Amino acid sequence: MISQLKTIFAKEFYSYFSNISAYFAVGVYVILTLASAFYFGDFFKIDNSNLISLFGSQPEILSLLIPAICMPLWSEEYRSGTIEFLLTQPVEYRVLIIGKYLASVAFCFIMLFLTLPIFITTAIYIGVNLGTVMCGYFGILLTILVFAALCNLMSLLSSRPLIAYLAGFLVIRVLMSFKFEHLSGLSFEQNYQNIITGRISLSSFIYFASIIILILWSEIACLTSQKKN
Amino acid sequence: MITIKGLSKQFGPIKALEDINFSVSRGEILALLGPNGAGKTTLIRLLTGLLSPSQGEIYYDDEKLSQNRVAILNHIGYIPENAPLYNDMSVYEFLRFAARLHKMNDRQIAEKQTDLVRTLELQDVINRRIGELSKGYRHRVAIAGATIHSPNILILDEPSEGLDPNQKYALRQFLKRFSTQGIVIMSTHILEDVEAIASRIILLNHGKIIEDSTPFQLRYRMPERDLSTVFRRLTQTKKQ
Repeated sequence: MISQLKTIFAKEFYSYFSNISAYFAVGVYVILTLASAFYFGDFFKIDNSNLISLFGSQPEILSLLIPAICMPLWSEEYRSGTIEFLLTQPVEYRVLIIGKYLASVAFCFIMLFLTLPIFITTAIYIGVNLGTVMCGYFGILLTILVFAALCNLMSLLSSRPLIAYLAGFLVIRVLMSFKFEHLSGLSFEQNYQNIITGRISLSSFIYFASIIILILWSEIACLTSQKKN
Repeated sequence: MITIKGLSKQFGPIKALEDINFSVSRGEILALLGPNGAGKTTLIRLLTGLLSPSQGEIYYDDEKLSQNRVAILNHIGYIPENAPLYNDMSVYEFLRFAARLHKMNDRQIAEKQTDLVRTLELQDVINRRIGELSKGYRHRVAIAGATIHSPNILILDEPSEGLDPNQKYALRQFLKRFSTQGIVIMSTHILEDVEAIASRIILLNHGKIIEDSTPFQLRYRMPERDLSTVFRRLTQTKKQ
């Protein structure tokens, strides 16, 4: 099972690098991150020892780009017909789903890696609160995990990459806009802010983990139910 | 041996297949024949586990497909209609990918890959991207991908669609060789293929089996002794 997981992961991960649109997505991410941190985020005007200018706008940027990164994962298989090849291999559905999911997450992590020069430069010239910055990065990692799971599901539900992109973008925005007056623990915004400002709690961790598990389980259920239709 | 018992498939109100029963043994080349919409592709998809039946069961030897999908798929090679492949991969990468999914190790992959590349004459394109290949080469790559794990059952959906006469001939020779040690099931509406290689025909119409016999028996059932006339008469008679 692990060897099959590695095979699916490697196939999806390396396919990003054979595609110009993935490089384009990375370029857009870097430009948007720099613009949001330095131009809109008033990087030099406020205290940025916790890199708030960088982390504050990451969910907005990722909501635009993660759907683009995840959209071909399943919808392209349906569009080209290779889904028939894939689903007739002796591989458990959960292995296919997790393999593709991890590949998209790994690619997003590489994008995130490109923000390190901002962190290093700030650390050298201004000084940073390392603990809070680590929390910020942890918050973005969790955000990537949630958004990628949602977009993988949308890709699985559509045979058209464009529809998968739009649906992925839409569900992320819906998740981000959920605000409950008496149940702030269920708000994405609230949990994200808690983490990036260093207030990591078990409830926030459970919130993100439960969303990811629920979505991945839904993907397995979707793939299984497609056999009946 | 493959045994199909009481198999039915319904898509909403439409009955795609109804009470299908038959079994296939090693050495047979079974042609699923029928007009468009007869249920051939649905039956193929049920046999490969792509769809689950509304009723009935498929047994590979004594194992139920619904309960042992992954284990059974280890013994099946499947080539869908139009042989869809990953265009971004090279032939070499695709074959390795298919082999890895069957948990083959490097030594097994190297041996089988060398054998298939020689048998299917893929030497010239082994490092080319699949998207750049001609239809004939793509088809051979699909066969290589479907047989790299040495399956004993080969299932093909409209295998000779779009192939030129030489490619069709090569495909038939390959299937004949394969059937000496395994089972071949192919869906087709090309009677030329059926006459050339099938040892048995199952004729489907409106989701039901209307004939199960050999090409020879079927041909001699009508005075014209021509398979296309028999096909036309049987499918049109049943429709009326």
